[in-house]
Amino acid sequence: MEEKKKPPVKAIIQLSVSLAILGGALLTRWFYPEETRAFIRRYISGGLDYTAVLSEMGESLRAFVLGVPHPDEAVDNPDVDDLGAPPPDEAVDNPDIDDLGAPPENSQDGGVTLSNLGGFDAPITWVNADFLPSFTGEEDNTAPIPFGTVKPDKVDFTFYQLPFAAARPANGTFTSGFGYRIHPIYKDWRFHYGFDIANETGSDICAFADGTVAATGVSGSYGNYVILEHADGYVTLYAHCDSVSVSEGQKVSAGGVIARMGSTGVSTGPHLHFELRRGEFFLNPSLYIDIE
Amino acid sequence: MTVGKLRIRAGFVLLVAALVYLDEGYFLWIVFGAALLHELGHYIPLKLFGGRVLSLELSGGGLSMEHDARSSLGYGKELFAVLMGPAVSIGFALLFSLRDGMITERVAGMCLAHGFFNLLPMRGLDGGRALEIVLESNGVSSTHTVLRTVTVVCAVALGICCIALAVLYRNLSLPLALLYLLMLQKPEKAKIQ
Repeated sequence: MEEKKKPPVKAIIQLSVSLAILGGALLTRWFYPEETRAFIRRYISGGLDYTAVLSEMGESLRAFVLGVPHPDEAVDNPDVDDLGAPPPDEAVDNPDIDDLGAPPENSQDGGVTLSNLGGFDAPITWVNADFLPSFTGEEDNTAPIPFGTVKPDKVDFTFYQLPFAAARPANGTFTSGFGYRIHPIYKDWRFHYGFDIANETGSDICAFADGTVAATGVSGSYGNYVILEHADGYVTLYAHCDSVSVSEGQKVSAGGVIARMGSTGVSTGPHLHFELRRGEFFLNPSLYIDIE
Repeated sequence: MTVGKLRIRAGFVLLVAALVYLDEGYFLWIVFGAALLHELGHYIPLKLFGGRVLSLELSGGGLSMEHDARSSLGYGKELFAVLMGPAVSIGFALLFSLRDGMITERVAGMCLAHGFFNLLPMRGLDGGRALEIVLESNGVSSTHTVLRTVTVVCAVALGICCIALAVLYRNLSLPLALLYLLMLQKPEKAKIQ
């Protein structure tokens, strides 16, 4: 009864101020650029992507419940694995390739590390200074890979003569290369099985080469994805698409639009995660596409 | 602000404001969804046992429920209702994890974290409430002292971990989470968090 007698002025003021702040947050979110929020998020969380952590927990739980390997442990992508063994092509060694997949040069100038976490592609996105102008992290991306680190079993750094003409799968900023990276969350070296090209949502994603759509779908880590099967057992994967414009079994031509760039799945910004496989082995797509 | 049995604190609005502003990847909705499922885990057994929900409070500490379970239901049923919150959270985490998909994975992760976090034996959390019920039902006279001690030990352990991780990874969200925990340590009545 005593509480009722007191005029709740203090509570009203508190609530009013809080509602004003909430309104401000909504308006600010609407009118101010994403970079501002990203800046605050990074400085609060140290670059840790909590949605990615949640996805990782969900994936681990599924692996535990269903008794299947965790995607990080299983390099195999079942969708891709079913697509056939590699042809017995003649391989041409490329002496220029670092077997340990050193980080790309354009990722070393102060920029790291919004991340995509989860999925066997170990999708750790290197973001260069142009992409994240406000971030000045101190991670040493040029640190040597720890002694004893080995090339993953299903990675093939060999350069093959492709039996078909190849096209660039997307235009934009090359933000992440094929090879080992310092994981922005676990701070250890992990392998990135493709490369990333960032551009605006809705940008064209094109077929790497003539082929057939082997699969389309949605994955927790990949988001909307397309898998194309090309001649001689080559397979390409296009992940984090905003939308997919082809369907399974459809024939596609090199350079033809198959999807739109987006940020679905475990991703912190619109980009294409592109993988190239030859049978069960991941190839370095940078060797076949001019990324400059 | 009070609407019927629902009490909304300014801290809740501030929490929503922060989450709205920083939200990414449906994080805000996932948090609320997980919290709602958790509270349903408390609410349904309470209603089934004939208990009364006195009020629902939305505060900076999240969603909490005030009830009369102890006086009307007894220790056993109250303990069941308290533990059903984390149980339902973990159950939904398992359920959501069965389906592959971006949102379901995140909901599963949040439910799992929410369930286990609430099992910490700290005052203000379900684990602390369960510990309190067990001690009281066994006639332990120093229930509140024991609970306070366990809470302090947990808080210190968590605090050390938070500070260490914050220093190592320059991650301010962990000390903020610690502040959140400390905020829950206000003396309170029979509540299910």
